[in-house]
Amino acid sequence: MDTRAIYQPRQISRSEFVNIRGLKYHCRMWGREDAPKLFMLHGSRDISASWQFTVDALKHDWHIIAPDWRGCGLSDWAQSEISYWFHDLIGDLHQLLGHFSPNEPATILAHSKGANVTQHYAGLKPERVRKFVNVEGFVVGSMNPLYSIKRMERWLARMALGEAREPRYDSLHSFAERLQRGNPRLSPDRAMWLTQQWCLEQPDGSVLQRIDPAQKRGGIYYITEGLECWKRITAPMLVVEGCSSGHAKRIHDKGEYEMRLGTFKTMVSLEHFPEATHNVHLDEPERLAEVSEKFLLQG
Amino acid sequence: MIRSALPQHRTRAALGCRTETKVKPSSSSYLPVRGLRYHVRTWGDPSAPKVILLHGAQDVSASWQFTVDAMKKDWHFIAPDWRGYGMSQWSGSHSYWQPDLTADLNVLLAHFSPDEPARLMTHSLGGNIVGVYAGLKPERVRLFINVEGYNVPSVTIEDTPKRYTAWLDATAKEDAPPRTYPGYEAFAERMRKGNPRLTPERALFLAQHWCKEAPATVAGGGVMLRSDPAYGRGSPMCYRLDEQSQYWSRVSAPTLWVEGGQSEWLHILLKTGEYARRRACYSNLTVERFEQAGHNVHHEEPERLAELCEAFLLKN
Repeated sequence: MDTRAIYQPRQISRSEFVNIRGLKYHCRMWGREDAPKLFMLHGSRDISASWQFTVDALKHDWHIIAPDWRGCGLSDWAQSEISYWFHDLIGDLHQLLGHFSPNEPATILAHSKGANVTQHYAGLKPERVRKFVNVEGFVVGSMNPLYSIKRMERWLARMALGEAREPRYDSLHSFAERLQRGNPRLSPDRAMWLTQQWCLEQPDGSVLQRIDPAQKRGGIYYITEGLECWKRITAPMLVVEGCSSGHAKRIHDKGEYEMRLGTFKTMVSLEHFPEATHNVHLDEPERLAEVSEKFLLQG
Repeated sequence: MIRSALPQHRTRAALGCRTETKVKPSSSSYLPVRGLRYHVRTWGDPSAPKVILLHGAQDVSASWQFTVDAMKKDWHFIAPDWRGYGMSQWSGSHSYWQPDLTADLNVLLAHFSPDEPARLMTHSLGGNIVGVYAGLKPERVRLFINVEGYNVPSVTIEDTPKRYTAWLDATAKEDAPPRTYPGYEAFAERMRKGNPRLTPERALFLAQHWCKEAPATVAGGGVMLRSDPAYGRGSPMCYRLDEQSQYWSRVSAPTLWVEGGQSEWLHILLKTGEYARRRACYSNLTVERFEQAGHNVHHEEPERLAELCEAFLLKN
């Protein structure tokens, strides 16, 4: 029995399943359905439930719609036919917004890969995005086609190995500890709560993550194509960066930071979170809620 | 191994076709490739030197039949249907991605030619895949015959948003019901309308492999294409000359380009001036143009193609 305290959500989510491009998509919803819609898009190897702490810190009424990307959480995964190309996520987002917000442009708060997908999408379909909170999205690594051979070779080699095995953890506790090691500012009660959403307990007590290891199937993404999309964004954008983010540091070190940031013509402000790593939504959810809400409600 | 699963030349007499060349029998086998069931057609003695045949988009392995029939020497031909084509499994995914075919090829070669570099004979899409593969893994390719598989028009980086958006719009469209044709003969006639250089006999043979009988659930009945309609949604991936050149310039295998003088793809390339630049990437290249042939050289002039390729295979 677990004797540790477990985080008690202030707002309880409900689940909805929709068919998106042939796959069953799980969408987690919070708030009144007649409130303004706010889409929350998680990052790579993450799940929609990670937004719980940010949701709980919001002061205003929102109808929050947070999908688990394909291969994550309660959306379809572990099927040989699921393709995980970056472009697939752009196609999925297009369908998701068409389903939940067919007649009005969407307000989106997105983290990491989710924000990267949104950056592309908001440039491709500027009329479909109203406002965009971009959390650590433009610092995600990528490749230049001119230096692609090494990456393609590595990808081919991974493909030749066959499907990856999911690492197992001894118990929910051991996974919660791993979450805390990766996110030192995540409190034990939050780590334990998130673990329960994140993992699938096996009959022998071991746990598996609800994240498809086969996501390595789609691994090629070009920065040059991205920049071409990003510069077409028209939605006002708030950019959030974790000051201890390894992702941001790598992009600074590569000398690409200013160039990437410079493509955003409609950036309203850039907020630095001094205490946060890449996972701003786990490290400083209260402040993320505060700055996002301020940006979303102004003008 | 089972005998080729499709009836061949079922209605030849009805069309007044005459048998002029001996049809060499093929065998079908299946193997799992990256989670999908691949159909592989083989001809010839397994102890003969191996040649891997890779078909193009919309096409099937069986379309190498005419070329195989015209070969004089003993070869063991191994021709997969790419994922989503012919009798290989559909991926089940909403869109197809070209790098997946490259990874499939890597697995196919590991299976059929684990210990020696492969002789690859390709058409169109097949040649495009090998152009990348032979640059990534030059040590795995002994010889590369590329029929009309190097002339996809390139796009510039500024075209990216347009390409992505066109694909996004295609993915959002409702699926159209599959197109049906009254029968194999009707489809064969349609093929000949698009390509008058195709003989009735060959058109009917191809129709029988490209198409299958429509299931009862499909309105209208008749026959329909075997290929996965998901290919029709296209791809936003950008075919960039600067990227492709990097692969091509690493190809070390002796390479033979076969081009159709009437091919619209070749004409585009000549017009844009990219032809010479692409040619220059290859360090060991021979080029042969079939002035009267279009893009589908292997359907139109298989005898001459077989003669040329056989000489190239024996020389290298």
